Amino acid sequence: MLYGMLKEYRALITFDSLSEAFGAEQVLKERNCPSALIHTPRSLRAGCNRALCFPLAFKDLIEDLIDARVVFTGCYEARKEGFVPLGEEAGDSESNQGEDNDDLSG
Amino acid sequence: MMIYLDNGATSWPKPQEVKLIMNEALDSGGNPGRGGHGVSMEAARSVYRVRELLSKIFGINKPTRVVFTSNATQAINTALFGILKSGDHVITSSLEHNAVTRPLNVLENRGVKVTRISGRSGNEFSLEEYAAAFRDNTKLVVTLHASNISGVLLPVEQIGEIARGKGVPYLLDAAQTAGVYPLDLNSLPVDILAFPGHKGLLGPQGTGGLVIGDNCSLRPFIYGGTGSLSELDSQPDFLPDALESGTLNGVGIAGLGGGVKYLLAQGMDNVRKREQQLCQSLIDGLLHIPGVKLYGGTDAATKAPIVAFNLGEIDSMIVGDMLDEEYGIISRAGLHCAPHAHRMLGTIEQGVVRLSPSHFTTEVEIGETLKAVAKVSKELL
Ligand SMILES: Cc1ncc(COP(=O)(O)O)c(C=O)c1O
Repeated sequence: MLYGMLKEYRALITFDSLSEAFGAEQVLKERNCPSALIHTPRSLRAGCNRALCFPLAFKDLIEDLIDARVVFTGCYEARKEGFVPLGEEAGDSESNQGEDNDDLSG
Repeated sequence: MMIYLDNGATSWPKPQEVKLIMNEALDSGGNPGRGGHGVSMEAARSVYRVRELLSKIFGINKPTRVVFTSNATQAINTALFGILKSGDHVITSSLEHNAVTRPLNVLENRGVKVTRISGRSGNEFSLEEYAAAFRDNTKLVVTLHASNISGVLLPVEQIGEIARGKGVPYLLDAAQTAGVYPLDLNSLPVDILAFPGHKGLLGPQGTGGLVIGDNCSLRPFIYGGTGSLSELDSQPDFLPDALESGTLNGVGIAGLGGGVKYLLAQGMDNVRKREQQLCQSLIDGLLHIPGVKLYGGTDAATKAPIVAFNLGEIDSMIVGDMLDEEYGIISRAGLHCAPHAHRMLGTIEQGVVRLSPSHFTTEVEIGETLKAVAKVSKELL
């Protein structure tokens, strides 16, 4: 299920437009966070068929993306059991990501 | 030897950087954003970098709100057809280029009401008439920034402020001013800006675009593949994809980026001042030539780098042809795609001869041009 740099990086952001993905890439780069554009996992269907993965240790940079007005459709941690919306602990039943909930089948 | 004074139509020569970067883009290949392979991604990234650059110079902090088109005309059509529909009202000026006039004519036939604000030489846009022209169904104000015939600037700050006061978006046709005057949407009350890439921004032909303010949303003008949401039959609704169907001019856009970088390195103000100085030399020289009629005033510092004149009542095309054939001077004569503006100037029959230097133009070339006009005047008058 995990492929490419996702195996190592474990955090993933999806977008509607590829242009937004480049915007995110730029913000991460400016903060010395490595990243890689990979195929968007089928289970996380988003507008853009490229998603950006980056090391989970940098997950707080999501806030920086929001500050930089990057529009993304979801951000996830890749786990063995599937993609879990970032910020949600395992077993946390209360979700603020709504539609992203059934994406765990990854 | 050619003396090129038609930068109002398209700038020439282009900076060396533009050619280099276009060659590189041709060599690296790839369709921007189509397919996930590295070549396509690198092409798309290069387009994104230019988006970013343009978003900075036009003062909009979202690169995705810069949409690329083939030229200013396509940008203007995208905005007009993307906003106006039957029953709406739009306000425009009497100086417009056909890039605005003709789509508005089509929209008028489809039930859009168009008000053209009158003007006269010296007061090209009556602000009183304009302020009184708004109706409940006014959905857009659209004007050019500088007349492509005379270089005269419209009072865009006031036009925009008044539109803001009425809650109506303002579309600016910056064909003659993008890359010439700083156009910062943070301070300028403009909501949508249409720009050509191939004039003042020094990029290649086949480039242009729209800068779309935060509160504006446009229906697409062209529908098709965007590289996103490919499984859906419906057009994406997010920018820039919604308004960018079909393969982008990746090579041209890369070149446009080169032009903008060059311009920023030179300093836009320096480039404009140099061009205005050259225009002032032209104006001062022309005023000494018998039979010269100048249009758009005699102070080059207050307008876009364009000088318009006629010799007596002689057809401007004859003067333009003689300058070209006998002296190798490239001007633009005739009606310049803006019949309404020619009516205002009283030159709808005669047209005008337009001279538009670039910062690459030399004082020597200006001197040669003045000598040539003097000779033509002697010969014809
Ligand atoms: C005022 C104005 N608007 C629009 C245009 C059209 O620009 P383009 O040739 O890039 O479509 C021009 C070009 O001369 C112009 O001067």
